[in-house]
Amino acid sequence: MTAETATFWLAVVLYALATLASVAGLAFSRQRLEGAAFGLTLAAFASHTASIVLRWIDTGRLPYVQDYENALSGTWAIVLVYLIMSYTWPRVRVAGVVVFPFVLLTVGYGLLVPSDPGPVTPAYRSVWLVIHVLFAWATYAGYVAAASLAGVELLKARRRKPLREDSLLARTPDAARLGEMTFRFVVFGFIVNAAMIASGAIWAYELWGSYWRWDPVETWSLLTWLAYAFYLHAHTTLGWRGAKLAWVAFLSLFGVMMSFWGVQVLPSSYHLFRSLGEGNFDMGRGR
Amino acid sequence: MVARLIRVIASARLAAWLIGVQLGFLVASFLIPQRGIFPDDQVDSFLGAMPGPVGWLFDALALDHVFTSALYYAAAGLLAVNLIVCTWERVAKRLGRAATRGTGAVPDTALVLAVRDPVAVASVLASLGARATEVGEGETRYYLRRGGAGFIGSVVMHAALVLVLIGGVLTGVTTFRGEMLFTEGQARFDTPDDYLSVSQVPSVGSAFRDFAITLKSMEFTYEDGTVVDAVANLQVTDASGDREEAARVNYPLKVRGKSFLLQDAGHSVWITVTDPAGTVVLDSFVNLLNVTDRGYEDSFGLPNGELQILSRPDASQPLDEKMTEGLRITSPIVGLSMADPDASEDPVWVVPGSAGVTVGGYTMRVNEVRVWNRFMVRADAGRHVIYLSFALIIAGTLVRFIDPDRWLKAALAEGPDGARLHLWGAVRYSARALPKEADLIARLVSPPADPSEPVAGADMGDNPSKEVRRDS
Repeated sequence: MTAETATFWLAVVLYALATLASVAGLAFSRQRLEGAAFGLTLAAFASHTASIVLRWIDTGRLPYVQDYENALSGTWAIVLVYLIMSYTWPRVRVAGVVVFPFVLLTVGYGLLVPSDPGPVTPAYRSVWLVIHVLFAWATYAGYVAAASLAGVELLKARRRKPLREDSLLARTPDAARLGEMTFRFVVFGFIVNAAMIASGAIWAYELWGSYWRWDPVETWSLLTWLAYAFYLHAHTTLGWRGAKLAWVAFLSLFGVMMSFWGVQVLPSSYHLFRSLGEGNFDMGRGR
Repeated sequence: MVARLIRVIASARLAAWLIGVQLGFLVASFLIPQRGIFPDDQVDSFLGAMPGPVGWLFDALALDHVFTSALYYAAAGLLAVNLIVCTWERVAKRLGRAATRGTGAVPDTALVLAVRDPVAVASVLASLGARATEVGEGETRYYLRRGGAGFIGSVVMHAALVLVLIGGVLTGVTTFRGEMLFTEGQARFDTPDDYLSVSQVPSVGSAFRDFAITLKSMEFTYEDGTVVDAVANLQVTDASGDREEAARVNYPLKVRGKSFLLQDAGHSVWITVTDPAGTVVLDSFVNLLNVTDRGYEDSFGLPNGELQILSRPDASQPLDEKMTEGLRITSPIVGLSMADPDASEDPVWVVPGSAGVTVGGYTMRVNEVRVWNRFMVRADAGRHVIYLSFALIIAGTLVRFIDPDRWLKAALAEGPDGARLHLWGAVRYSARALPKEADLIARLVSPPADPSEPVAGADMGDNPSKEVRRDS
């Protein structure tokens, strides 16, 4: 087992414990468990960072090409945004109850796919691809943060009985404030999502001679962007607030998940990075 | 009637519905294999497996190519009209609001506050930069506007979405799609005959331009048996003269609006074949299009049978071993045979430049082995519009949310039972983005901690339940 694999595994285990602590903390309203979840996340993040640095040193490049590397780096961005959010607004730490399972699922998926770095073929050597992937990570991080805050708002809205003063949910900001914070993350995600689509379009033209091909990943990415565009219009133009709007933010995350995982079951997509390192010089992959 | 139609077309509700329709198209395209993305036989087999009425419905709605269907064009066109009218309405509304400066009727939804010290309230409003207009004896209207840049950002963003659709149409009418095959040292002209295939020509403008390209040489870099870099050294000849250019994967050669995208490569063998009667039946480079573990290979018809050619890049590699670094041709060796391709007869191995050999009754001489390259050739004037649109969308959205558009109107009037302040406006999402105005509103509408203490000269009036109206 390499140092990179060991640190990655350690991060996965710590994220799993953080998930358990977070869910238990919320279920039993134990602040100590929530604190433990946060501490475990910090430790997992440190190990996760070490894993990325080791990978980077090993390959001599930013880990951005394979599914494994995207799971590794994408989840790092998600956790980073969660930590910044929790540092800025400590009362929303409980949002980890949505963030951690998402992170755990993604890193778990990363463990199942090939991780051998291998040489990078010419198709993946593009500055536009790097920009595209960086914006994709930022997009996912922004949308996951938004969904986690919307999730907290929904959990609060579902409570019929008044919250006990010492409960974790009672410590969170009121619904209006949570809605405003969700909105900010959606705005952030929406802008970087547009940048991701634009940089991907430029890369696609330089590589395949067409900026848009209605590839399933492109389609889901656009679908996700439109779903969040709907959220923004519902908020600013139609004046939606509260649980109805929170549901839109929460469910739109499905589009993000489909872009990342849904395409893995497809018979054909330009965005499948499984064939990396094959010997032939052929850009017409799968077509 | 016309006004109502415009209202419907400009409504956010219609925009939301049309976004929903777009989402529907996207979901359909995900669930149903699309022509142009999936091979036709795969699409046909999917549609064939559908029960009759469903297959008929898919066919009638063109769901196997939704993005080129009339239905999609109609929905996209309507969305464009909605965006244009909606944006125009917003601009007109804003200009109109600025023109009246709050001198119109006070809406029922306005917050009404009893004012103890009108001078203090006027002073607060003036300190915020509100424009004051006297509308009658003892009544002053105030108009406070913020987020001019945000408003422009919003307009730019929505206009850019229309520009995306225009870019898409432009792509449709200006696209050129073709393929060109070069052997090292070969020159090609931008004429129909020199293309391997041309699958689409623009409906407007000229498809072919006056230039030529020569593939001078190819360089390949390998890492662990995999190509990690490929460079095509090219010479471009046009009206301005000759110039040297290089093309790589992801970094195409761009000449007069056309992009030459490096695709795949293989071996090209210059072979001279003479029949038993002494007639030369073949004397040219032949491109070997198939790559296997053995090498680059292909077959060619001759009068007496099929000529099999197999080329390997390095004669020092054992011939029964898998070829490695196939495109780095160092000391090539070529295998020739006239056998049945399914038979396992060994070919006759020839080093280029050596004496001719007899294969199947023909005398064959291999002169040289080079590399061929396939370039995808594309022209698409619409893409620049698309890139510009996205830049505008991003910039517009950024500005829209950094400096959100908002306004506030106030009517301060003396009445028989004291001064009253009517307050109404459009306040956007974020209290932090509106520090001054939000602070004002908070100070005006919040009951003071000590009721005996007036806040900014105002206290809650006769309508404390009303909020400052939020609208668009």
